[in-house]
Parts: sequence; C-alpha cells; structure tokens
Amino acid sequence: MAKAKSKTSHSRPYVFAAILLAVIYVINTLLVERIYWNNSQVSRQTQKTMNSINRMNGELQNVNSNVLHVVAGIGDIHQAAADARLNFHNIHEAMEDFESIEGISDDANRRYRHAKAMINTYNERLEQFQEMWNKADTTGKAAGASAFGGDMNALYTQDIYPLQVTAQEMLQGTIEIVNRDTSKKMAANTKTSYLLMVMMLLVAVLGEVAIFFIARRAKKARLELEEREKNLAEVDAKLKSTRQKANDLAVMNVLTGMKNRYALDNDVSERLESDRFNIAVFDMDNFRSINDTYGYDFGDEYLATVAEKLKDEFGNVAEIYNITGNEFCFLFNKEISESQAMGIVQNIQAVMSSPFEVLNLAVQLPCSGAVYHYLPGDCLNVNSLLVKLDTAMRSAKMNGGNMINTVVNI
Amino acid sequence: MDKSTTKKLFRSVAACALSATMLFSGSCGKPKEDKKTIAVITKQDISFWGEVKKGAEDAGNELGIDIIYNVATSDNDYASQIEFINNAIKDKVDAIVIAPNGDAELNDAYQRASDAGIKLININSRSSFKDIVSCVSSSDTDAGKVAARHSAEIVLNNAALREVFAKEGATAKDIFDVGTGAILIIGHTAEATAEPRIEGYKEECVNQMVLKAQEDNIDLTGGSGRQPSESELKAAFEPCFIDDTQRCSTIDAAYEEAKKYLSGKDGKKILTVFATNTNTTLGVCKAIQELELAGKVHVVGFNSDEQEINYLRSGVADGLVVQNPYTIGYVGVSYANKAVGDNAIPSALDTGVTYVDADNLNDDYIQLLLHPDTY
Repeated sequence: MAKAKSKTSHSRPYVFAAILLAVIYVINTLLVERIYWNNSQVSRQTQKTMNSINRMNGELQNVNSNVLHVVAGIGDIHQAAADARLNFHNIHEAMEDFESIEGISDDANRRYRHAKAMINTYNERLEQFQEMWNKADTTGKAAGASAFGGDMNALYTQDIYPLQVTAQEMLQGTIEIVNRDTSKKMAANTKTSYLLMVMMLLVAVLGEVAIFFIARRAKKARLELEEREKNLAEVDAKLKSTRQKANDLAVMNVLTGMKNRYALDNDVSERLESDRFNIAVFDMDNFRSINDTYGYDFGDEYLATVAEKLKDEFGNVAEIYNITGNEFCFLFNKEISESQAMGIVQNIQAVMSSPFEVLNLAVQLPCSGAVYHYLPGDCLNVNSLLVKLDTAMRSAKMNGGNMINTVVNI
Repeated sequence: MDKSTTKKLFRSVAACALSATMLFSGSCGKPKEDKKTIAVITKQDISFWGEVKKGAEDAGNELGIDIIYNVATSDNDYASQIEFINNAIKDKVDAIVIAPNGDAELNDAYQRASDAGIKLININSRSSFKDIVSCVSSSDTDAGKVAARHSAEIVLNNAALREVFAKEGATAKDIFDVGTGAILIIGHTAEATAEPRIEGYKEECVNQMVLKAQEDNIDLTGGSGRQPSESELKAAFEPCFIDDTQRCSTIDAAYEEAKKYLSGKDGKKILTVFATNTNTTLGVCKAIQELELAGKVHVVGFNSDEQEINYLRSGVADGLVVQNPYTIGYVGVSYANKAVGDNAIPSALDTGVTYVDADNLNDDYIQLLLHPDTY
C-alpha cells in the first residue's frame, strides 16, 4: 500500500508534464486554427472585393467603349443605350456585392463612396446624353452632328467621360487600400502567430523546467523518506535488540548466563497442575568461605566455572537455572524417569563437588541437594515448590552437608 | 540545488527563450520597406489648392506615403516653386507633384530634379518640360466650353434675343444690335489656364449661337446666300464678347475691372459675365452685388470657394464651373507613386469639370465635389 502510494507520487511530475504538453498542444492547435481561419477570411474578403471592383471597372470600360463608338459614328445609339442599361445593372449588382462585404476599412469605403457617386452621375449624364441625341435625331439633324461637327462627341468627352475615368481612378484607389488593408491584416496575423509560437515555446520551456524542479524535489523527498525509513528500521531493530536483552536479563543470571528464578517461574507455573516431572536443587556447602577467603570476584569466577561445567555436562538432560547466588535448579526433561533422575543428581553432586581451577587456583567445595519427583497438583505455585526443595536441601546441609535429600510427597 | 546552480539554469532558459524570439522575429519577418516621400507644390493659398492638398494628403495616408506640401504665394510666383523643387531635391524625395506657375522658368529646376532621379508629375496645367511623366488636370479649354454651353443657354433664353432670333429674315448683326447680349469676360493673370478657358468659352459660345441660329433659320450669310466659313462665323459673333479687359490676379482687381465695365457706357449691353477663376469670380460677384445687378446680369464663374457657393445660393452667381481639385491632388499623388514604382500611367488624365447651379447644388455628386473630405 505504501509502495503503491510512493509510486503514484513518483509518477506525478510526469503525469503533470503529459497534461501540460497536451494542454499546450490543444491551445496551440486552436490558436493556429484561428489564425488560419482569419487568413482565409481575409483572403476570401479580398477576393470578393477585388471581384466586385474589377467587375465595376470592366463594365464602365464597356460603357465608355460603346459610347465612343456611337459618337465616332460607328455605333448605334439605341443598341449602346440598351447595352449601357445592362452594364449599369451589372455595376449595381457589383456594388451590392461590395457593400455586403463586412470588415472593409473606413478608408476603402470612403474611396468607394467617391467612386459610386461618380458612377451614378456618369449614368445619369449618359441618360441625358441619350435624350439629347434622340432629340437631335427627331429634329432631323444627323445624329451627333452640329454646326462644326462632332458636337456630341465634345459634349461626351468634356462633360461625361471625365466622370468615367475619375470613377475608375477611385476604384483603383479602393483596390490599393484593400490591398494595403489585406497586407496589414496578414502581417498582424503573422505577427500574432510568431508571438504565439514564442509564447508556447516559453510556456513549454518553463513548464518543462518546472517539471524538472518538481521531479528533482520529489526525488529528493523520496530519498529523504527512504533514509528516514532506514533509520527508523535501524532504531526499531536496536529497540528490539535492547528489549530482547532486557527480557533476557529479566530471566537470566548475568554472572552464569543461566536462566534465573523468574525464568523457572515462567517455565514451570503452568505445568504444576498438569505435569509430572523431576526437579532438583544443589547448593555449594559453605560457599561463603570462598568469598571470605578469596573475595567476591573470585567467588563469582568460581560460580561461573561451575555453571559452565554443569551446562556442558547436563545441559542435554535438564534445563539448568541459577536461582540464587550458588544455588542451581535442574528441571529434568520429560523423558527422564525418576530413577534416571536419581542417577543424574548423583552425577551432578559429583561434578559440583569436584575440584575446579579458578584463576590458577584449584578449588573444591562439597555440595548438597534435594530432588523432587513432582506429581500434578503437589504445589500451588513455584514458590511452594522451591520451599519444599530448599527445605529438603537445608535439611541435608544441617545433617552435615555433601548429601542429597529427596522431597517426600505427603 | 544551490542558488548559483538555479541562477545558471534560469539564465540558460532565458537565453534559449530570447534566442527563439530573435530567431522567429529575425528569420520570418519581412524586410522593412522604405517609405516613399512625395513633394506636392501648388500655386497659391486659396481654397482650390486647399482641396488639392486634402486629396494629396488622403492619397498619402492611404498609400503610406509621406507628403511634403508647399504652396506658392500667387499664381505667377514661380520663384517660390523653384525653391520648393530645390528643397525637394535636397530632401531626396521620390517624386514631385507640381501645379506650375510658369513654364520655361521652371525648366532648370525640373532638369535638376530629373537628373536626381525624381519623377515629375504636373497637376492643373502641363509644363512643356520633356520629362513630365503625366499631367492630371481638367482641360481648361473644355472647362471654358462647359461654361459656354450654360452661358449660351442663359443668353439664348433672354427674351429680347429670342424675339430677334424669331424674327423672320434676321441676321447675326441683328442679334447683337439688340444691345443686350454682350458677354463680359474677366480673366485672371495666369495665361496658361486663363487663355485656354477664354478661348474655349468663346468658341463654344459661337457654336451654340450658330446652332440656335440654324434652328431658327436665321440667315447667317449676311444676305450673300453663301454659307460662311468658320472664321467668318466667329468674326460675325466676335462683337458679342467684351474680352479686352485687364487680366486680374486679386479679388479687388477683378472687382474694380468688373465694376468699371458694368457701370460704364456699355454696361447695359452686358447680359452675362464669365469669370475665369476664384478671385475673378469673387470680384465680379462683389461688383454685381454692389451695383444691385443680381438677376439682371448673369454670372458664370469658376471653382467652388465657400464664398462663391454663398453667391450662388444668394442668386448673385448663376453657375460655377467646378473642377475636381480633390481628385486632382489624389490622382496626382497616386500617379506619382506608380511612376516611382515604374508602373505604367497615362500621360494625361482629364478629371473634368462640372457646372454647378442652384438646381443641382444639393446633388450627391456636387456635394462630393464641394466637400470631398467629409463625403
């Protein structure tokens, strides 16, 4: 569970990086799409504007050409008038197209308005011109004729034709403004796209840097956590060891390394009611004389030597306890019978009473003991058990020592 | 991570970002184009040239061109114009758009400009210099003719004259003997524009008179039965015109000249006055107003100064031949721009004239001509 959580926290910067990149990609895509759409829109608008203005220009040229043919005497005024009506119809359609285009600048609109006023006046004057021509026809003069000839031609070129050429110049001006506006819009879009790219790059770089730092920090935190866990484990192990030692010390005699009386209590208490076993205690006779003669350190060394010997000799047949200073208790294994126990206690007495070399001195003390063939329910507790054993052993000592008494069951 | 490492890292990131920015802006950007400069030089500080200036400046704004505008002190002040050309050469302009106050007088300055690679465009009137690329103007002769058509209409609608025309067996001599058909012409001093206007005016007036005479079956043969030649006809109608007047450069001069004739011994014969520019029109109208001749003597003037329009509204002037100064300025700069870019342009463009009277004063197109900057 903890590992899973740790794994999640380790991958968090990378998940964040992935999300950040995805977000940048989506935003970038949307903005690029918008710029592309804007450019397309500008192109379409420009194309539509150019188409409508070019159509106006073309139709104006057609009108002018037809009228010039008429005034030159090589065209028919009625046909020219019919064509002109169609031409101006087309021009008005183109005007409607132009006026329906959104987003045309004020400059372009203003220039177009100038052109429109000129075109409309050109149309009106052409209609008046046609009326005058018809009137000349009906009054019997040759169409377009005058006192010095070419009068209608002069009327057209002086009064009417300049409107057509200036209108075309205004339309040309409109085209130039639209081109300028288109260039400006395109340039603005290009600038925006570059700005966007730089911003996205910056965001990506900064994001990656942030992720780098977050990852580093997370790694550092993880290492610190691992270090702390390691330290904690060490402390825990030490604590366990200390606790074990403390426990051991509570049930062990420090001098002999044997279990003490409390250990005996623990081991035997529960068996008092139900088990049958053999137990014996031994004690050096007059051990005090050793302490008094050689000092307590020597006495301790002597006991340790005896205890070591006892463990070597009898550790496999009995659990040995050092229940007081020089008193040893032997709790025989279950498979040891009473008779075997009796034999072993004899051996124990022999071993304990044998000479020991302690600090280059040979020392030998007799010992006394008591053996108890315990039956279930004989004692209420370990204390009463030991009282019985001690009483029997004391009795032996009082009788001169160096002997073994048996606890008699009552 | 210690502080210095963090600083180094941030410095690297900042350097990368800056490099990227410079890469984008440097490699993808369009090289900046030099802005063109065009000098516009006009004749004098009156409203007509103010409109030309507006047109030129609008074209400059729309096309992204710097305009340097200069105006001479009067319409015969070519000395100032030579200085303006010299300054334009020093300023290394791309083109000069000029309404010349002289012809041969400007040739040396033109030559220096041309040698410096400057394109030359005329407006209003054309100089004879060989390297003039184009001229944007309204034809002065045609403008005179347009004025004449409307003047003739006024003359021919005169009741006394109509009676003479209608009289059986009347001759051209009879027409002028009636004594109320004289046309006073007050011209301005700039010959280049004044004389073609007067010539055109007179020519078309005669045309219209002849047409009317033919319509009314008036004998123009002088009783000989022989169809007269063009020159004979012109000579026959010549007494109709009082054009030996002093050429005037100011409003006051025109006023004095008009007043002199209108209140002189032949004053009552004058039916129409033709004034050839703004100053002469204003001077004539002032005299008409002062002599209380409005409605009796008909004035056909030139151009569209605000004061002239006021005279038109008040009935002192019958009509004004209005040029298209805004378009002249606009197209002049537009052509100069194209010429600088070596694009083909017409060698001349006639922007035309329009006759404005009380009837059409409020028409859309007339409003455009009068107020182009707010239309």
